[in-house]
Amino acid sequence: MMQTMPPSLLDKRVIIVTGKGGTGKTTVAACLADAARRQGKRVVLAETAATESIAACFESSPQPLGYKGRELRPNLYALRIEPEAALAEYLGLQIGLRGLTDRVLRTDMFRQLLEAVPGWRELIILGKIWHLEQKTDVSNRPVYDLIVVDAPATGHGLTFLDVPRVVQTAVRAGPLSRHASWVESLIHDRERTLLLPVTLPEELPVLETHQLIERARNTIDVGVDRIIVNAMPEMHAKPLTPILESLPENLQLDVLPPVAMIKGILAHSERRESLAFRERQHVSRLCGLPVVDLPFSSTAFESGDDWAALVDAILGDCVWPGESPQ
Amino acid sequence: MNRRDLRSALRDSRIIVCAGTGGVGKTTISAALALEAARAGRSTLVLTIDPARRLADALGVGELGSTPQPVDFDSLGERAKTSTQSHAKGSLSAMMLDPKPTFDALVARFAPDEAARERILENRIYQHLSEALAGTAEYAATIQVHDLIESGDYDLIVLDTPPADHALDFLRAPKRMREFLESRFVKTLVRPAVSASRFGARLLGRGLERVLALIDRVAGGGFLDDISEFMQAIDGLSLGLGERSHRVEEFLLGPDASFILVCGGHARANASALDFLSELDAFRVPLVSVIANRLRPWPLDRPPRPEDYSLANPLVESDMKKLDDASGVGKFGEAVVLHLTEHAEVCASENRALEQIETTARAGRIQFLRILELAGDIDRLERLAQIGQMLSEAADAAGKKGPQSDP
Repeated sequence: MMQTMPPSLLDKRVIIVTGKGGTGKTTVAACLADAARRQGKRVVLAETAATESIAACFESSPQPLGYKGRELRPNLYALRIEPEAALAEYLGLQIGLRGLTDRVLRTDMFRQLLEAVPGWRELIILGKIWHLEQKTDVSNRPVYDLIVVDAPATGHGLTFLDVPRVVQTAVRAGPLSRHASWVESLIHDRERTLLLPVTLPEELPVLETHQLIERARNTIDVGVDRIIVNAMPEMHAKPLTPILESLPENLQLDVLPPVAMIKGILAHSERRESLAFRERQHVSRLCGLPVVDLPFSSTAFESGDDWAALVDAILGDCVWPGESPQ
Repeated sequence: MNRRDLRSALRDSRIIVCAGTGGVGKTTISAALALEAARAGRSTLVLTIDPARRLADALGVGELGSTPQPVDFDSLGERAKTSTQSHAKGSLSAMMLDPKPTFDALVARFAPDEAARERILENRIYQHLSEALAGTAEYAATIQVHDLIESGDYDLIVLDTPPADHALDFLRAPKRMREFLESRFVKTLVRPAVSASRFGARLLGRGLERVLALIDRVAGGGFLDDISEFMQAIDGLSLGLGERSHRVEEFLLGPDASFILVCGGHARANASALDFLSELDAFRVPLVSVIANRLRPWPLDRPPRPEDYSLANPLVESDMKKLDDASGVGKFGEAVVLHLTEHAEVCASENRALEQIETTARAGRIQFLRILELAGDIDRLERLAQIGQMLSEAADAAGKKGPQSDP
């Protein structure tokens, strides 16, 4: 197998972090944004889910970001792309008459229409991302070096990115069609845009990641060069279990649990570890992509040390997992 | 009031809806519950959205498809029969939700004639709507559920809901569809006068005129005509669709339905589980049980306290020495202690994460059940049965000690 190493994540303009709910996608997006700004990049971190959770990665008593957003760390600006607010902004730019747009947006009829039309939320969110990417300052430099998107956790993980294409089949002409095509070319651009799938070393997430990557390649046509394997345990228990087997069960210990219980706990951990290593290798083989491991945290990121470990790991080297260690 | 719990839901409900965020083992719980009900003598269908290879293997059905596949569980033996179905032999089938064919089948069924059917299927707006865009899966799922309920083929349907940001995206889908079909906007666009001439809108008030003008400006010429054509084409469908989605909604909130919320032990995932809980409550969903799934087993009676295994504790140090000596491997004791500390940290962190959701559930007199993780694959029916049994046992234990146990 050709085992090439992809270039640095920091070369991209837009990184779309995607993954099934529960894979830690939001944490990964937040720690990637933090890592990038520590490398001197000006970063915008965009949340797209209906409930905010990004501020909670940076603040102990998080305040909502809202559409306006704010700077969470120096050079790290975060916002939640609220579809309604983005639509108002877009239509305001299109029509030029903010007052008229607001009146129309408030009518029941328009609200009913929006409730029922699938896809508009995804399209307007992508439109805003495009807009952020295009933004330049007075000296014509991009305002943001990197836009990290915490993609919505929908059932069909990539439906989100397919919307501009579908919209163009439904709408033939006019500004909407033209704008959808701009967004679509940003998605296709390998230089600027990268899809970053996050998975867990477990069967179902791995399976879904494979389907997601197939779809990214065949339908969406978006760049993907590595898989983030989150909550990857280390092989701690495996080397210990054979030694434990040799211990007498009646060994008297003062504080530690009885030997039989230690054996039980370690046997459980060993099975988890082996499964994790198997699934990590499996996802890499299935997708033909290298992986980046993020360490498992026993305290679920309640401490700053865990966060620092993640930030260090996310820009680290990709690996092609070989046979699982025996 | 006769409150329900997981036990009574398995015995009496006609549908059990498993809600929850992704990655918490909802599909496995759904399958395990369906298996429990089947073993207790009910004719059961589990309707899943996950194409899990190992679930199909565990059920022994080869591949899950969009038609019900029978699952042979004779090897497991039967569970104690419940009184109502004491002599019935239970059965279990499994199938997968599949949005696209259902939408097309719906058009085929409700279109007044062949020409109308073709017109809809070829309409760009229809393709836009049905091409697995967000929300469509939920629409289609409610329709399939409706058909399966109406068919009367099953005593119980266990429904594994699509993962979503909101617990109720699924429940809201029928309402949203009905509102759309019944909206003035749609009704107006169906009128040929509007599609023939935009001036028609003038007769219908300035509000509509503005909306149409805005859409026309942004979406460009032809889009409104396409919509109008589509709306005319599906006019015949809308009655059937609207009526069905209404019935599904009534059923899901009615006395024959039970909801369970599945969550994990991870801190951040539980924040969203709490959101789910309050949403379900606001919607007056018949929630019977919250299941905290795949928790790390902690075998000791005393609670997990990582600080018990601090390397600075002289007693821990002497235990480490004993382990080193007994094994003859240097640093073995330390490695064991570090591992125990990590394990205790995970268990303690799960307990902390679950505290609030447990309190909330109990305050709402909802059964709260803890299910331990089975390390290893759920790749055989026996493993699924094991989870089912854990669920039943946890439910029995909660029912006995709970203040609101059934009379």
